[in-house]
Amino acid sequence: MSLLLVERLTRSFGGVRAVQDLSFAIPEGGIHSIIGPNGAGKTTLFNMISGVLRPTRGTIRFRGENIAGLPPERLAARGISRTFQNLQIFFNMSVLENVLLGGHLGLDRNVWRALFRLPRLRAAERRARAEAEALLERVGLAEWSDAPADSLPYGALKRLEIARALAARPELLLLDEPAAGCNEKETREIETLLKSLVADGMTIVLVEHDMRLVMNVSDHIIVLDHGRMLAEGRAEEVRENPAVIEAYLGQAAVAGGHAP
Amino acid sequence: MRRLLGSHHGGLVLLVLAILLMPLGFPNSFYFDVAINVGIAAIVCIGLNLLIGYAGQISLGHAGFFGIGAYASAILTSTHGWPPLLALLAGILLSGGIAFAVARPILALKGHYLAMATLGLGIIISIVLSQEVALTGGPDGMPVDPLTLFGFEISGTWSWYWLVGGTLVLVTWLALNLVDSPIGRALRAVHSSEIAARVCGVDTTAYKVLVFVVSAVIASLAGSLFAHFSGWLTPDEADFLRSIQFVTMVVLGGMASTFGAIVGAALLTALPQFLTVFQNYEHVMLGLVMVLTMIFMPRGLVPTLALRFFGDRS
Amino acid sequence: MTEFFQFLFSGLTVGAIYALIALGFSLIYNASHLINFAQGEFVMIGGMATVFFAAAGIELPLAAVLAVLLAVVVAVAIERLGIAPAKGTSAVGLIIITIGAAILIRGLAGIVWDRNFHSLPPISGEEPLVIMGATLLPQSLWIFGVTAVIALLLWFFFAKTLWGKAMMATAYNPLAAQLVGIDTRKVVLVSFALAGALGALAGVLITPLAPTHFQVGVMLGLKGFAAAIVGGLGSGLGAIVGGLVIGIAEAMAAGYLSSAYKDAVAFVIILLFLVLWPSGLFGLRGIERV
Ligand SMILES: Nc1ncnc2c1ncn2[C@@H]1O[C@H](COP(=O)(O)OP(=O)(O)O)[C@@H](O)[C@H]1O
Ligand SMILES: [Mg+2]
Repeated sequence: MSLLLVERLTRSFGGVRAVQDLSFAIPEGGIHSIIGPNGAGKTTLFNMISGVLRPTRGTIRFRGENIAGLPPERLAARGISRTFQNLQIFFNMSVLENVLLGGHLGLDRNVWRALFRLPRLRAAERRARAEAEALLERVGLAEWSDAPADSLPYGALKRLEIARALAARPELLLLDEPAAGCNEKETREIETLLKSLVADGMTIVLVEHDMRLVMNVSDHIIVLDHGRMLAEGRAEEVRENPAVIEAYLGQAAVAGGHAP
Repeated sequence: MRRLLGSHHGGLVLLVLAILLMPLGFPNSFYFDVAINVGIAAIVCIGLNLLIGYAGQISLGHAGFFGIGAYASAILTSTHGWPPLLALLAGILLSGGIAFAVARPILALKGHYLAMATLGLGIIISIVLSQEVALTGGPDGMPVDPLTLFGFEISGTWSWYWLVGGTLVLVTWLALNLVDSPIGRALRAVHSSEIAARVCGVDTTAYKVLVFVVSAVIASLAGSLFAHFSGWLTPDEADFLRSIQFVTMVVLGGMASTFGAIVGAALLTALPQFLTVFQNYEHVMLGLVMVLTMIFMPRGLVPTLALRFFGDRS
Repeated sequence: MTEFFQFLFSGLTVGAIYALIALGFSLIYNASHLINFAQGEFVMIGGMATVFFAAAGIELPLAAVLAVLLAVVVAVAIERLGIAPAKGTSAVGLIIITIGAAILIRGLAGIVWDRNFHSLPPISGEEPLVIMGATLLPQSLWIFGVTAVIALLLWFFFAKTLWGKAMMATAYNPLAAQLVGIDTRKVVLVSFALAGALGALAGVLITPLAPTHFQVGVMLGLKGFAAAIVGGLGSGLGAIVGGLVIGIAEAMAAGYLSSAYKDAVAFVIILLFLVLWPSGLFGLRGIERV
């Protein structure tokens, strides 16, 4: 059974069909990339899978159950985590607290124990802090742990979002352009991180424009254009698909026209 | 110093020391009266700060809950002869119940709409308090019996000072604990990005309801104390201007700072008592404080000073 | 039935006043997505300033014009000194600034003028008309007339003039408006000035029927806001219909139910609308309600 099964999924904004009639399956494990030009509908797709947006039509099955239209907090509880293309960091907290919040569902959320700071809560908090520190270590932010989140540079914030998403111990991790705005070194670090996560058995869906990263890590690639699937397959299959080349070349030509 | 102020216990120790030592410098009982009123306002502001400062949800109607607590204590003890503690608890139940009932629909609103809805709620409460003359004595007010706790009557400035001081310390400690817990982080997450909070599994609606009820309950508790302390209660204590004063205290002291809420309450309560300009030009000064704070010090006093002197950004 | 018409007339009269105030809220909201909690103070200035200019020996019509101008100056000052310097402040911050400005103005009015109630003579006498057995004061007719004329002028301004169109464009999409060369800062400023004038006009008109006082702005402002919400924030037609709805509901409640709770009616209506129908009767845009 597929971990994630998307069937005839559609989402319109007024007249714009951001995603139309899209169907695909994501098996358990591995890195599955979704690529396509800007405006292809990748973020809209993530928004629907993570519950941020309701689909106009269609179903999304996670472990066989239709989850389309469920609110994000319910999907988080079922094991779906994500990062955002436009950073959604909690800038009013420290770096560590951001990660702790990511693990919210696994923490002690009893009001009375929180008010009186009872030993059981303190112990749970200590454990959570240790785990969060370990996650920060894993994404290379250990030394920033106590810094306010708004003091971090952009590339570090991207990794902080990944750490926050990981803190929920997700089964399915959706990453929306994690390497955007990162330098070469940071991108290599993300690559290493993704591979190590998959080695631990996580399933990752990756939206990314950095083609080298995509080609290096992906087990399976889905190409979107204008909200529809253009191609699907292994990296080398997709790379040589004429339709894909045209979609990208077309975009590159437009972009080139505006370049100085 | 930074660690002392920044950490949980350091700040609390400072507060306890201040409460213990301040009376040494009080020349007369007027100072005690002011200090007790500061303490009562500070209790309200600590709760309101959880709502406004931490969770980012404004309320322009919290004096309504203060008034419900105050009048529950006044009416149940003076008219019906209830024991004060029971009356106080009844006030808390009523405030909490009303807050719970309205929280879900009202807190689905944002920004100006939320401000307007909470304002409407507060005004409705204050209108009821001033129109139900048979129950509340109407705009002229009503007398309130003295507070008795476990058979002891709290009378005289010293006992009131310690009672309010102790309650303030307790409420501060509880608020600090709450803020530094998964719940407190969830509240701050709601403030920062509701979408990200929900994606992280935070049931944002539930937390907004929780913090609204908690802040209402705290305001109600403070209202009950105020009623017994002042001995005479008028609906002015629940009106729009009072709600605005509470919000201004929170903003002036510093949003998302528990000690800021206390400092804001202290300044805006004590200054009018000691400075005649403040007395004569109450509205003008309050208005100026609100506008100038937001323009020149939007983070409020305590966070701004902490940043300036200790480089403490949190 | 006579009773009903009596309540209806008084509801329509005060409703037209609420409508003028609500128009001010909507103008400013459209230009800057801001709720100006100081709107009611313009109404107070309109009444109080006319009273005191007249007391200083100025002819009544001129005193009223000066009062409206004073409110315009105050409105522009709020925008320049309070709103503009606080660019980037949160919604909560802006709410506090405009409430602070309102309290400040109120305080100054109490000091510069006084804390007593004042009235003005009606524009054309007190000989009431009798319609269906109910009486209607000539002042009410003035209020209906002025509100109608203002509504038409505003419609003409927004539908037919370049400036009005620029302001509408700013309401729909400030960024795009800026891109096509509209000075959105000026648009905000003009909307504050207009809102100040409308509020003060309402104050001038209502003072012969309901005495003014340095604190009348609080309730009048809030009820005007209730009217704007009921009609749909940002909609001109909505402001007028909303004002009349609130005015009539208030008058009927006071007449048939309990005059003690007259002031609560607007707030109950506002809560119901915010919760059940937040976009209001004629609101186009969705409310901030993710
Ligand atoms: N909230 C929204 N409202 C209106 N249109 C939207 C919204 N979100 C996305 N769109 C439109 O949907 C299309 C797909 O956008 P998006 O999913 O962000 O693409 P991608 O992530 O592939 O760049 C675009 O045309 C975009 O303008
Ligand atoms: Mg995208």
